[in-house]
Amino acid sequence: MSTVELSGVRLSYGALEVLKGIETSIPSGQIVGLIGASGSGKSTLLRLVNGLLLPSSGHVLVDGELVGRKAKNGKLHPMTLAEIRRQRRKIGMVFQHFELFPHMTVEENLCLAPILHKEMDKSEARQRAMRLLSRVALSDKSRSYPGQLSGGQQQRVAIARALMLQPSIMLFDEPTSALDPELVGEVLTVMRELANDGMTMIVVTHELSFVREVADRVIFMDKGVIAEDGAPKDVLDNPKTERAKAFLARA
Amino acid sequence: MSATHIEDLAIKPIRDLPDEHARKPWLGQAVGWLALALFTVWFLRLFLANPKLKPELIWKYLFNERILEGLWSTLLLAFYSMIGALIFGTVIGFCRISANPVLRATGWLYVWVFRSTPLVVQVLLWGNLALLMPVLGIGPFTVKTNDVMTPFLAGVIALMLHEASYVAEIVRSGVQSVPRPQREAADALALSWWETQRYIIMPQALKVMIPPLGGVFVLLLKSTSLVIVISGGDLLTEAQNIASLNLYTIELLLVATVWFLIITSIAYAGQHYLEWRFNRQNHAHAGGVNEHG
Ligand SMILES: Nc1ncnc2c1ncn2[C@@H]1O[C@H](COP(=O)(O)OP(=O)(O)O)[C@@H](O)[C@H]1O
Ligand SMILES: [Mg+2]
Repeated sequence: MSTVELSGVRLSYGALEVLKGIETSIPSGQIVGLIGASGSGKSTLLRLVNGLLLPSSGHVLVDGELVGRKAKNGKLHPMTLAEIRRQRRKIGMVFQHFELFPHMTVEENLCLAPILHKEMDKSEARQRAMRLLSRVALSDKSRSYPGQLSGGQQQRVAIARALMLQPSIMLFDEPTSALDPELVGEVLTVMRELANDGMTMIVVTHELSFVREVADRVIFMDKGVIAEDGAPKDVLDNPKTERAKAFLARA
Repeated sequence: MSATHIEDLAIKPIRDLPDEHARKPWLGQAVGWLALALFTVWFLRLFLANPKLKPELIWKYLFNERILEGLWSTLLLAFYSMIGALIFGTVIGFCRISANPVLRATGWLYVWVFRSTPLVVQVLLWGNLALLMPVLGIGPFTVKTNDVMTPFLAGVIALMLHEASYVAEIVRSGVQSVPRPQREAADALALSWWETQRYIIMPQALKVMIPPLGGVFVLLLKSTSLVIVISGGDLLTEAQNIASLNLYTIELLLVATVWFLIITSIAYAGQHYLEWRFNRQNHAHAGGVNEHG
């Protein structure tokens, strides 16, 4: 069963068309490495999957359900904000700059959303937070503030925070791009474990060795279209398009 | 310079240098303080030794019943209009950064009008509302304007609306100081607009807003004296009322001056305390050593 489906997806910011007809489907449990030059539309594509953006035309489906829109009287209408938020809960997102909330402890960062959504009471949330923190090897940091942690630690906390709502899909937008080289490994380790547990993941990254090792599939985007799509060794080692060859030669 | 040279310099012993650091010269400092003290004494004597001034009257009227009533009115004026300005100014501030262009224009218009006109004019307008609208209300529910719009209430409204325009700008810049991706992170966690403001934006914005809000309050304390133009019953009005009978104008103005010095100093101290507390919190968050692993 496909967890994510995009059909005929186009998206424009004003006059600038950023996605020009995206057609793809991602089965449950697949790890997708999304690569491409800066500005090719990778982040935009992730934002469509969790409904932060709605396509100008075409459809985005998650678990067979239309994202952000509903059919009524033979036409598509936008969902209410509350409905979109409810859909979004099952999609976790991790950002390049972690985006932990600096005025809250690590534990508070993790517990805020599940408690506000009334998915757990306080003690349940705290227990789950402790379990996830030990999973990312940060049990001893629950009372620290983000500013007291290294970049690698902050990103691991951010991953744990995204996992609190028990998502069925995890989106990563360049999760290691802002890290010092010696801190990249610890974040990739956590992501590797997550992949082994069967999580569906879309990972925008420049870490091609990670993609080669962990991803089931690589999508190469170029100027708003999918230019290459296949097994990592095919796309990374034998790219067909000139654009992909040039991109990989530089990376 | 060659590498050997650099090494030579690096290992050169510095034992020729004395260990003790010389004290800062204290004479200059002392002369400065003395000059300031002399000037202050001379300046005060100019007033106090003036035969036309009766310094004992300042002391006598400082705790005069009507002066204390005026002082209390001044504090209430400042307090009520500050509370109102905080609430109303926050609403206007959020209008200024709303995605809705109508709200944005409304907020901009408000701030423009109230910041571009002198406060004393606004006080006069509210104080003389009865000239424009002799009765207030709709249908059978009407009251005479002068029965409800007391000088005190007119003062509160005028100060509140005026200060709200300053609070609005502080709220706007405070909210905008929180980086945009923080909002996106909150969105990705499916928080609502209100939850995002309440738990993510406001706590961070407040740190930026506290010092200028303290400044607004101190200014407001002093601005209350403008209600004298509608006989607002504040400290300055009462001082002037007494002076108009006994003609000790300067003495009573000095009584008001002393009280203003006291209350604004207390407000300044409060502002510094809040700033210090928020700074300390910031350090607790941002400081610290990174242990990797
Ligand atoms: N909010 C926005 N408004 C206007 N243009 C945008 C916005 N976000 C992204 N873009 C533009 O869309 C294009 C694709 O951006 P993005 O999806 O972030 O690319 P990538 O993540 O691959 O670097 C870029 O040209 C970018 O400038
Ligand atoms: Mg991007």
